[in-house]
Amino acid sequence: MANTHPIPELLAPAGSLEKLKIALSYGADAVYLGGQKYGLRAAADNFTYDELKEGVEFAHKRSKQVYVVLNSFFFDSDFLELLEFVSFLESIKVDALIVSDLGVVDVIASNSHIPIHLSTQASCLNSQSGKFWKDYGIKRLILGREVSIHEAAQIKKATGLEVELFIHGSMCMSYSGNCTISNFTQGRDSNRGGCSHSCRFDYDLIDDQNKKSSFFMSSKDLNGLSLLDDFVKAGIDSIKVEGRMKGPLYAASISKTYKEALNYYSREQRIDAQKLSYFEQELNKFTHRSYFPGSLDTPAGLDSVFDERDHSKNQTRVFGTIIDVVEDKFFVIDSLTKILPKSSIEILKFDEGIIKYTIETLRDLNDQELESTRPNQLIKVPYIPGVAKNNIVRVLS
Amino acid sequence: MSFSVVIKNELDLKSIVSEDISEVILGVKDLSRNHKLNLDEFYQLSHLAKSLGLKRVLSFDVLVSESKFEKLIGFFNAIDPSSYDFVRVQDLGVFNYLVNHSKGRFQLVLETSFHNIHSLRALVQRYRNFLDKIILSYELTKNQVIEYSEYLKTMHIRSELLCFGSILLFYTPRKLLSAQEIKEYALANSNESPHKGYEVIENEHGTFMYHLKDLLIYNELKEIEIDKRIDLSVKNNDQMKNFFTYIQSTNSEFVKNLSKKTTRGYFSVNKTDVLFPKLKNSRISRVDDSYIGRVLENKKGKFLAVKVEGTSIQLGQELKFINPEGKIINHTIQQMFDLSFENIDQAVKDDIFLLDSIKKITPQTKVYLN
Repeated sequence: MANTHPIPELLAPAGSLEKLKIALSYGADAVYLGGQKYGLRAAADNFTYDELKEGVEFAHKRSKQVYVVLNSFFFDSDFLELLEFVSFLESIKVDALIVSDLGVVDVIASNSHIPIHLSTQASCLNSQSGKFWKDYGIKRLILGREVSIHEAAQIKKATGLEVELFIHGSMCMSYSGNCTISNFTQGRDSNRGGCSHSCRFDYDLIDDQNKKSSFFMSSKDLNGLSLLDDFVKAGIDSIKVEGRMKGPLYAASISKTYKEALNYYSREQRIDAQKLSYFEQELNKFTHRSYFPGSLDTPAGLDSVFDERDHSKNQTRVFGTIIDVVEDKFFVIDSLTKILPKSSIEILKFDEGIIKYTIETLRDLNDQELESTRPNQLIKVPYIPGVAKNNIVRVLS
Repeated sequence: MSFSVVIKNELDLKSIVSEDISEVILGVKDLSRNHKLNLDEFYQLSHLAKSLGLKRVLSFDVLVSESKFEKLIGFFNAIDPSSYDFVRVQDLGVFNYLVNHSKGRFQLVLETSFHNIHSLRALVQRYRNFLDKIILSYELTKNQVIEYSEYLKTMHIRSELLCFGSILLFYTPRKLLSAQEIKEYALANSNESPHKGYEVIENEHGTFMYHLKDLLIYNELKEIEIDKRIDLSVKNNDQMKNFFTYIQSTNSEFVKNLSKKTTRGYFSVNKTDVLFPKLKNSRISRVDDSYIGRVLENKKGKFLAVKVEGTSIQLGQELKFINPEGKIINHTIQQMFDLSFENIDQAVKDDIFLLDSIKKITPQTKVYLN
């Protein structure tokens, strides 16, 4: 059955070149990433010039897109090297820049032809704000996390701009760009990449009568999978996943699950309850806080606070990445964790499906039998048809 | 000296009798983050302020969702325009709407961004005729404040900076105190840092959290030609009265008697990004020049596995290993193997090659061509 609505772009985080390749291989249509400066993740690996070039080439060979974040709040000194960097990004043909500062927007629009996407950091919440930014050359609005799908459709219609909404991942509790807790209490500017996540801390709340310990500023994690139909019908151009600091299992699982869901929707024009349940289970297989639909449907309510320390008990954990495959002989996993013989593993295929396998005997690269694996150990496994280099392997907890 | 003073009630207004007050900032609860007045109470206060010869600024500083936009603009349009002299906004959408649908010039709050002259110039270039005043960020340093305010003056736009008052740390539309069954106000003490006593306020617009200390840079701002805002909207009015007494007498007892400690914020220097290089180990960060790849495993007495991520290598070349502790080990390749331990004479990007084990090299060690 032909789908009458365009399917949104699936935009995944790429905290490193490795994660870029994983996300795109597992189905993301585009990735966003940061260079060594100007992003909001100072602690992430971020990309060198050579990595940026390689990442863009990798994406374009697969007809996919790369967006580079320049979304920190700039000080004057930051502009000294901006044009040189933008010129480099234009030379390697990045597909868009994600920007929050008006001065940066103005400089880029005046000196390059790279499309500019307005970062969610600018907290664009309404059509009039969209029109303000459109006048400066913005092509796409990455709307505030407080914006609903319905509102996003209205903003798109009123502005004529592309709109992008977060569909999955950790949430800032504050309006983005309006939080300076980290700046004033930890000496690390959250709007320049140094967020210390003070909103995730435990606080005693004291009023006239009571004292209550609480993680009152910590938000549950966004999960908009069940609203995919609304995203499509509203004409949202891009659905975005948060998480540049998260690991390869997350990059793979999130890209694979959402891409499979979008493909399924494209074929069937709906996602039935059974299939939705399957996709939801997949999204529960890695570490996350309790999920909620954010403000995508209705404004986030009183139950949107994640008032506890621990994340969910994940059903799986990453075992490692397949770093090489010798056809018909063996493949090698770069192990990231300890597992025991007879462990059940799942190999995430790039296309739809998962290979389930029990490792009866663990062997290192010298074919020596092991009692257990440890992180940073190469594990040799007999060849299984269907495995591919860079497949992510998870182990059932 | 020129002050802008946030006034939330009649008592505040009576506390600020001073010749240096250029304007008072009033508001109604529907449009303002902190003001609690309904429209009738606002009109009364506005009338009183006018009778005292004060210019009145209507604060419309909430951030506005698409769904509420029309309703709030409707509310704003219903306010008698003679009850204020200027409108102050923060949401760029509200600003854009007013520019296109109302007459006059507006005051724009840029306290949470616009930390560079380029952004101000880009704004002024397009909206110069609509801007009465820009409220600069209190994250700016003294030199920036001077430079930006002087630039704005040449554009015939006034500028303002918070001089004494609460530092807003956090603004969310979510009702975070109600979620804890607490009404309207609480103090928050961090259990994971020494910080105690954040004021947290919840109202119909959401939840607001304020710094433990108030900003006080009166002495520093004295000589700078900029409007100085007094914003004690989450405080009792005694502070207001005491402040104006203080600036007339420069009695240092005032500061000692304040209920909250004070800070000069970043007015002297802003070093909030100097810690960034320490957030990750630079030794395991890749440097492009001569980069070969990274060590996957070093099995003592057996092998050392390297993944090629950069330049290809071949037998006879000298490698430089930099381990996560920063130790540098040089090694010339005499023999190399593939994963089946077959001899090879070169390795290209994405290959994994094996060498004999080398001491002091650990996984994540970076490998460069020497």
